Amino acid sequence: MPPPPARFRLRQVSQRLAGGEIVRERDLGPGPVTIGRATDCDIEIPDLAVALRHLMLAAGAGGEVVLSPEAPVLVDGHPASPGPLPLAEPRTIALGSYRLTIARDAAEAGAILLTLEQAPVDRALPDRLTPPVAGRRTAAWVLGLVVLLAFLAWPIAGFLARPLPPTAATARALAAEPHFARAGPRSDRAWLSGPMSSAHARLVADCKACHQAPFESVTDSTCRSCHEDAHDHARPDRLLAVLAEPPGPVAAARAMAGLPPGRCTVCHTEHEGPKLLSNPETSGCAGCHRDLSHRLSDTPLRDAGDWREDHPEFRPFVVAGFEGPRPLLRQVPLDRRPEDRNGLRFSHAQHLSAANAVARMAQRLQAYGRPLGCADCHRPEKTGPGFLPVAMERDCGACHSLAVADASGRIVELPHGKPAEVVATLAGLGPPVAPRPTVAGAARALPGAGPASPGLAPAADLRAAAPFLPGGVCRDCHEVQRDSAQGRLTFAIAPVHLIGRFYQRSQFPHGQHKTVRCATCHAAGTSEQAEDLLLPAIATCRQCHGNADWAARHPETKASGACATCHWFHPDARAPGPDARGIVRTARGAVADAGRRAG
Amino acid sequence: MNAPARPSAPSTTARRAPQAIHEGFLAHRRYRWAWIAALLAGSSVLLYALDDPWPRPNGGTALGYALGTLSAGLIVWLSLLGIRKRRFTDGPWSLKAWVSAHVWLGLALAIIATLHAGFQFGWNVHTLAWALMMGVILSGVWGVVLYQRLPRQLSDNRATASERAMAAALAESDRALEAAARPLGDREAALVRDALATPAVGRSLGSRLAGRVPRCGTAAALRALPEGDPELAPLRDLLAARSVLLARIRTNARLKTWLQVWLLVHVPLTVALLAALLAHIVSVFFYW
Repeated sequence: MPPPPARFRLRQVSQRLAGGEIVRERDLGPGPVTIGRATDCDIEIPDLAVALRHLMLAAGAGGEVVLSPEAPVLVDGHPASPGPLPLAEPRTIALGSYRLTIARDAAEAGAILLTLEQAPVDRALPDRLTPPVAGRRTAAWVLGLVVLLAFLAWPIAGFLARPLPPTAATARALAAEPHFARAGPRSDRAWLSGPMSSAHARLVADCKACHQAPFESVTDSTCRSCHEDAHDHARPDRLLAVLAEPPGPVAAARAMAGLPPGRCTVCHTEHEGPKLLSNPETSGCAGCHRDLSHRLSDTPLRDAGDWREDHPEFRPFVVAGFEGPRPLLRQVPLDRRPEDRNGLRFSHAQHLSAANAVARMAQRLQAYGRPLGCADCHRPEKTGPGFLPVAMERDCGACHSLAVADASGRIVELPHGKPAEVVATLAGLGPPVAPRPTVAGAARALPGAGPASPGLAPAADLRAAAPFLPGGVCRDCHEVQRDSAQGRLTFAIAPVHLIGRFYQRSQFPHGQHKTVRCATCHAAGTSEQAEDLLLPAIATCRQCHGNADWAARHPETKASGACATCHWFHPDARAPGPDARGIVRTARGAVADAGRRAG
Repeated sequence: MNAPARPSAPSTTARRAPQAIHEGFLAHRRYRWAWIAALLAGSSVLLYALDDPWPRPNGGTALGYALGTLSAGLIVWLSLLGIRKRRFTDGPWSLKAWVSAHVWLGLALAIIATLHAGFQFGWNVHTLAWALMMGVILSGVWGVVLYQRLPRQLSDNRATASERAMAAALAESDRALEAAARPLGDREAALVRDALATPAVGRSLGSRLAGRVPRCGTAAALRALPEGDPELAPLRDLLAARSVLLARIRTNARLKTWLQVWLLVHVPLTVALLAALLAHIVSVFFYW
């Protein structure tokens, strides 16, 4: 039995706007079926990509279809040529935006089912006219994440990965030694808030050397791990008592943040450029010192609020007397005209005269060649603001000679400062041979040639005692205390203490005042007594310092009235006063340089 | 922040009237926010000038902390506009009031945050945050300038037609062209198909900012179809009408793209700024 003639059926599927499909079916008869854009085609496809007459399908004898394309056709994605198309599997032909599937009809034997579907076209109208500018969100995410990773996560990770400096020596080496560096990432460099000081410049590679714990301000103990010998301004408990803020939200916030007052970093500000700064402002000092006596009832310090208006008279230390050999130092304001009972006999006026015997003697001596001046005895320190201590042999010895001649004429130098040895030396010399050198107009006594004194019978004894007796060479400058209780010749020189530095809280930088004559401040030319204190009072300093008129006339000078001109925050070890006057020295002890830097 | 709704009557009085009654976001409530911002910035400058901190002004002084807190608060609030703008409301906290405050306070922020920094700059996260902030503010100024100029051009270009009407006209043109080309030969069909396939608006940002579409199918079809062929005359007429419509649509799209493209800088920089601000704040307290 011949197979029934094949028939074509069309199944047209279109998309509903609201979703879902509309399916229409149509019987196309036995064919052949024409397909194209033209209205007279069996299957009209309204797509301009489809030719007017695109292709024709006919039923083959063996159940296949015969393809007759008039325009290029893709079957299952491959270019197709005219001829039979087996239908063992469904075949798909793309026609513009449409898709035609050819398959055997499962519902009806021998029928060929053509399914025509249009690919969904999404044309949202407003978007078609003005599509939104895309990329904002992506760019925002990318930029934000890059910033967070590079500038937050990476530095924190680097901080956590880096160990603390194990020792103070490591920390010092980090700061000082050019080639010493610790391993570890330097991921936190972007956090650097400003250039480091030159002293700490090398620490720029190692933030953790100072910033040791997260969210904790640099602590004093971290500073002290290198700066072991920095002196405290005052005893920490007393300093805190003065600096304590009145209770309130600010104090509470500070306490909560771990920022007590008086920390090193309050004054010493880092990350502000090459110079490590320390706060020099008057207001900073006056804040406490204006009314320190109210804040700290037992303070030995006087209140000082302003250099010109509110500063106490200078209170130098002077020698009030001696307790045995030990000098008793006392602070006396200059306006009470203190005497410095240093134990010497000395007249500045006599030595500075231009015309008296002293002047003539100095003129004759090669060492001077002219009347004496201040600098002949007071020699400036090579480094430092003050003067070398007056040394008898060097500064007085050219005139006040301790040379004696023995029997053979050999010159022997008596040991200054050792009375017992002087006695022993002179006793062994025998009678003097050399005539007394005399200075015209001055009854100059020489060792061993003093006038005879009663009570010392033996000539040797007499000679040995001579320097100590009235008119003897020692008595030129010293008081002599005789002590012969044991029946032997013993003399003691009254103790002498020359103060090297009179002020505890300040040190006058003589080097910076070279343009001022000594006599401008020190009235030495009229001083007859060694007890005269030749220090200038505060009024003398105020003639220049903090004087606006003077500054206007001398713009080249820097006679400031700021506290830090004369004082410094960290006291040094050379202060003359007794210890424990509110000054705490650290374990390492004295630092001579601290005062010089600050002064 | 679309252009204000304008009456559709094209008479000159109607065109001038909106200027009189419409108050832009800059002048909102007689420049209320301009005054507030000027007061804020001015008092910051005054305090900065009077303050004499040791060793120098920076973010770590009392005033520095105050200005920094104010700046950080402003930055967070200003960036909240990105959320706020999605809801239109009226009243004293209308979106227009919010935008007015956003613009003026944003300008004040440039001054306040710079004073917070004490004019200290370096290659670090702190200056990065400042630079990002200035970038955001400058792009915002650019946006304000665009919003002062483009909406008028936009509505002039649109004339009486709304965007929806232009879209409908384009769809109608699509249909008409398709119908007209359907019975024609394959060459004409291909030309029309290219014209229909060419997007009304360029896909790349560059072509949209330029208001051009490369290789426009409509223009190509007009060039390729011979004049004087009576059979093709209706198609040519349709293509010519479509060409005019497309020019208007593309100008519309160009202006709207310019109104959006500054946000392509403003918004991502804002997010980067918020990240840098967080890094800045964490870092200064991490290494207190």
